[in-house]
Amino acid sequence: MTAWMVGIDTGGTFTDLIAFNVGSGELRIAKVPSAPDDPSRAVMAALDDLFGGAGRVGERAGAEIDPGDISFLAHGTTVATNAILEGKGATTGLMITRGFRAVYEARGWAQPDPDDLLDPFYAKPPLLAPQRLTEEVTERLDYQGDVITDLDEDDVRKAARRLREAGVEAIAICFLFSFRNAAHEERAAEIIREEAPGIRVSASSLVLPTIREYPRLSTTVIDAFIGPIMENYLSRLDTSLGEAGVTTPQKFLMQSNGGLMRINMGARFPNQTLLSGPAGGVVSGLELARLTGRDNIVTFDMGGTSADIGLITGNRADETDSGRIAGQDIGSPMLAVHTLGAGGGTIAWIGGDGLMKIGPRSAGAHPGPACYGNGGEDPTVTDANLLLGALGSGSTLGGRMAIEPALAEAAIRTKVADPLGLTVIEAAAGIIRIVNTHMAVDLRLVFQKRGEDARRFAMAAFGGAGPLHAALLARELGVPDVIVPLYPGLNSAMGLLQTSVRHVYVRSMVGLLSAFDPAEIDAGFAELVARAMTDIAEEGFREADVVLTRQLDMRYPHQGYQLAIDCPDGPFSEDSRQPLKRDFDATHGRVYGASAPDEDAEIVTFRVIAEIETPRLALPKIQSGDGDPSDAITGERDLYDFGTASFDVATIFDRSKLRAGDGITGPAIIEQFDSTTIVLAGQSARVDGIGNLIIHTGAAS
Amino acid sequence: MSLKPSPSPLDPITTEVVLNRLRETTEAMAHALFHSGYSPILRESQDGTAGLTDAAGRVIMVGGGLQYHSLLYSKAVGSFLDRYPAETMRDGDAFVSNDPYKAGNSHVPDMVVASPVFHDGAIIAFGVSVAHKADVGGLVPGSSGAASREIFHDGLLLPPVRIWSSSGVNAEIEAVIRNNSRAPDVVMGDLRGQIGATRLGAERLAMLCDEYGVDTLRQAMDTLLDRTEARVRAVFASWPDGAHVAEGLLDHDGADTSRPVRIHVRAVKAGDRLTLDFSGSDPQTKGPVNAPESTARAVSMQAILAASDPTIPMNSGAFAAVDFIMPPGRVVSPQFPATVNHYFPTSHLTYNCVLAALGRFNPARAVAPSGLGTGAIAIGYAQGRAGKASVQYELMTSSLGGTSAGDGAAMVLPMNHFAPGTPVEVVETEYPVRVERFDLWRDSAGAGEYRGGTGFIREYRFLTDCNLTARTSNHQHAAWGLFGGKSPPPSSTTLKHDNGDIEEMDVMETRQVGGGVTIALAQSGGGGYGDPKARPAGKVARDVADGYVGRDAAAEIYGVMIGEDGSVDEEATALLRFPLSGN
Repeated sequence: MTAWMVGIDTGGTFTDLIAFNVGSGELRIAKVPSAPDDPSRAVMAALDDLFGGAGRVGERAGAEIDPGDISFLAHGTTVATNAILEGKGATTGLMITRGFRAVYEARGWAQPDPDDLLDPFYAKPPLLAPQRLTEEVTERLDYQGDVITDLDEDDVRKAARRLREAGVEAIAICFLFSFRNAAHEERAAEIIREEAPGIRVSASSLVLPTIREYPRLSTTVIDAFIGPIMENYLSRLDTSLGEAGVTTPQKFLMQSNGGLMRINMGARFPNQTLLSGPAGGVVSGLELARLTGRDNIVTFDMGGTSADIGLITGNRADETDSGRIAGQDIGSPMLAVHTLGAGGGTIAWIGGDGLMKIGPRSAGAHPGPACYGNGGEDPTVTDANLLLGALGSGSTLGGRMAIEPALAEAAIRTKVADPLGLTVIEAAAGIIRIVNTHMAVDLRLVFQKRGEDARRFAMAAFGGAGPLHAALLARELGVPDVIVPLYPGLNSAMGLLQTSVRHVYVRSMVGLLSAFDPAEIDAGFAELVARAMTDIAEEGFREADVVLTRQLDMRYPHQGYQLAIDCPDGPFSEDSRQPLKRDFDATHGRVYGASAPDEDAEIVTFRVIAEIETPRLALPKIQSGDGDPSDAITGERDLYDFGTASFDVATIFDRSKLRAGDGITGPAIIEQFDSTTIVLAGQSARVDGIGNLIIHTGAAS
Repeated sequence: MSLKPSPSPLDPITTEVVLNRLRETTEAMAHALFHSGYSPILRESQDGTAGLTDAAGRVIMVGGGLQYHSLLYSKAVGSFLDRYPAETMRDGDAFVSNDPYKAGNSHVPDMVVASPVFHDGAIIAFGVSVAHKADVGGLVPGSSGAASREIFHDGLLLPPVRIWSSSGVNAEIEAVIRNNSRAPDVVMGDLRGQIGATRLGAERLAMLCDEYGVDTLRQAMDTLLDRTEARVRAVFASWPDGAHVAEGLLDHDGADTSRPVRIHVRAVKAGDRLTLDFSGSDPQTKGPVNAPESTARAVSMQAILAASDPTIPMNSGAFAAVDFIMPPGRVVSPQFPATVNHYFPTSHLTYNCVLAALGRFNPARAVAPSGLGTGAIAIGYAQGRAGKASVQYELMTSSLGGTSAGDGAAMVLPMNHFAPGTPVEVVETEYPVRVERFDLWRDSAGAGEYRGGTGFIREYRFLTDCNLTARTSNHQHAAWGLFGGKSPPPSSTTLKHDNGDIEEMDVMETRQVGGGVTIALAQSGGGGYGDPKARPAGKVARDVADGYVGRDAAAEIYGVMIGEDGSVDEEATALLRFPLSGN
């Protein structure tokens, strides 16, 4: 029998599918409109396309695919993310230590976005568990986790009944210092299950046992708010997949941490799906780094409404434990992805200062750019790219979407060019210059904040719009090479098939590195490893398959941020302290430009990462050519040159006809089904063995 | 609002591109400032800013939360240029001062650093940073004593001096600073971080000159200031001409506790000009509540932008559209050697007053004032958890007032919305103290159709003897309501002794307290906007269920009777709300 690996990624506009035949190396792709009301419908529609024979690409097209041929299925979902964006999660109750209602209300007292600094109309995001569904119970632990006041079980019981009567579907528990001692939260959870069976319980000591009560509470409330939504969705999806005959037990979900989890874990760890889409792009970047033999890659994923930036250094993706969705703070470990409001649908307008502004408002999928003819009247980045010749009709989902340059021109003329006294082309070029500046500014700040030098990186360009802008952007940043993978518009779906199962377990135990009791360190790690092994067994893996990495998050005393430092396997001893301290000082020096070798370091959080290899898509080699890409030429058109501010004739290539070893000299336009790549005048590109287009940007390396 | 852009030699695209690059530069500077410093106050509370002025010292941009630092950039650069004429400055220089009467800084612990940016041998701009220092000497640790009666009590006053040159730090100046601080390592660490951030800005700007040309850069900065001024003037032009006054009171100045301190502003709008006249404000005080003039003006400008269009950026262009009348020697225009160390509550009240006066011109942007009582507590322990002497420092916020669009935001620092709080779990892990409560304070917000954000109570029980300084404000004079909205209750600070005795503390006090004593800070909510009886009864019922509003207040102030089951008693509510109507 044939074995197919299938990745299905739900995006805001499209649901992408990529299928890989493990035996033959054949790839098939499908793209269907997303179904926001029930995303599983779009998932099934994409599968139907696949079973119906759609999506064959290249010359290896084989036979029909039967649902039973699917041996591995990985899915990226935005169900939980949308529930938060739209405020449509479960009715959520909260149980806290008596006297601490302000913890959630204050939200860390933190500042709003810089744009709101002067605005007294600033509003905080809504509490996902309102105060009226928040119950205080008598209990208190001290900073070492010792009990000061016993848990009042009667309090818990009454609170659970009141919440049940109030109709909550989920209850979050967050007691002070529960990361040091989970007993009170665990007992409260038991009582809630007795009093309110069927209501989902999220305990902070399980969801995120780390110091700092507000992010732990917020993360736990989010877990409760989206947990039931996720359970429903996964059960619907499971039924549909079963009915369709997709019977493989190898079904996985993508996580914000860049790894997979078995689909049965999704309802347990719903938070991990929240930023899984952007994480998929970074995962693709990691795989590109591996395949092209590079250590440092910046991923640049530009779609319809936003651009995501991720950094990979030394073959490792940046991670963070502070994320935010619609103002809601989430502290679960995740890949660090910087997002800005710059995409193809981003709108150009004239600011109060009479200058041209781009974004952050987007025309989104509906009505979309003016040139789509769906009633959009605002000029967008896509409209500008069309008038400048960067986009043509050959790139619009295989011609399935009509585009009308006259509408783009009218929108740019009336909304920005005429009011500013510019020609349409000057205005269109201005739109691209400004949106590129926004992206370049954010990219430079991402590099600066990590203490990295852009010249040591290659840029991996993804998304429908990434390869359009990458060559210009990389040259401005001094990034020497751009890598455009064979299917840049499908990178999130591709990433689903390019990673492993990954779980990250954290727990805070604060103490000085120089004085921490070695036995406590060993016990701290042992506890996290035990949790990992329990979950892994539940997922159906064997202990022998697991690779464990142990880390300590450390800081100099009084700092507000930590750095994760690898901790060798084996028992901790006195001799372990010095090497850890040296690693920490060196990392701090690299990231923040300074270190304090004479100061002690403080351990804040223990971290265990469990990884299990799963089958991976092996990108097939593409046919080799003779270096001459003439056969792939489909024509030529005028392309705007920002250096000379005039049009230049660019050769147009069909990406699917390019062969390994082909070389291209700019100005050139490489078109494919859902993306367009620009190679600028003075730049050159070549196709590598697996179809990546490597553009040499002309920036000195 | 329509606006004719003033002519610029630069096109609207290049200008936007260059201005974005300047924003990048200030953000990079601010990041460097907050990540290279040593002290929690800089790293965690981010009590500082970094930004740019042009060659003449006009403020271009301010990076960081405290936008009221803006105007002092001008004053500081001006004082550096006075002492070191431009032709004597060199590439690689950095200058420092912390004298509020010379550099314009808000109080003595804030140091201002500036570095000239050179291109082709000429100064084209300055990189500037301001950062709060842990201690610069003076009466008490932290250099902000309630007993201060003149600026010399606040610690070392550095005049404008060159702290850095291309050959490195000026060791003599460094020695003077070290010799005058209780925490010399931390202060010098922060100062070096500040110099580094400022130098980074200067280097980045010089690179932008190479990339875009110095004329382009100058024109972009000029355009920014011109357009900002034009935007502010266009807003003023759209308001009706007239004059409105507002005033507010601080409890006292810390020296004479029998008399309140009055802030009074008269706002006169004629055509496209606005004049803010502070002649009616009280004379400068003996105690430390004076606000330096550049700070008072800058918080007024924040109120102007808040009341007109908060997307207008803070720069010297905005200031050019406003006239200030501040006769020398008022509490908002103190003269040397008045002490200014507790400037924040005064500045906050000034901001509230200007906002109140301007709301009358532009009701669409009118907001009820934020709750008064902001400040900080500092607790010195002989031994922290780690065994060393340590100081716990926490900022105390309040909440914002109601607006025409909704209830005020709860628990943020008004006027800068920017005070990351210290988590309870971190406080207890680092210091021998237990946080007994961090709770909603019911009925602490001014009632209104849109009520203020709810205030809070934070209560600490000391586990050992310690030295407690509580400096907040307005225990007697609360904020007020707007358009029929109600005022919130005043903030309070209470001590509970082990024997059960309860004692109200003054707004500014330092004292020794023993283990077992509890301090409770009740921080006021925001003022109410509009008639509370116009608030939909369902919302009031929800407020009661949420614990923001008590049943009694619901009935007495909102005229909403809440039944036993928490729902609105429609009949009783109708009687309360419309007592004269019906049959």
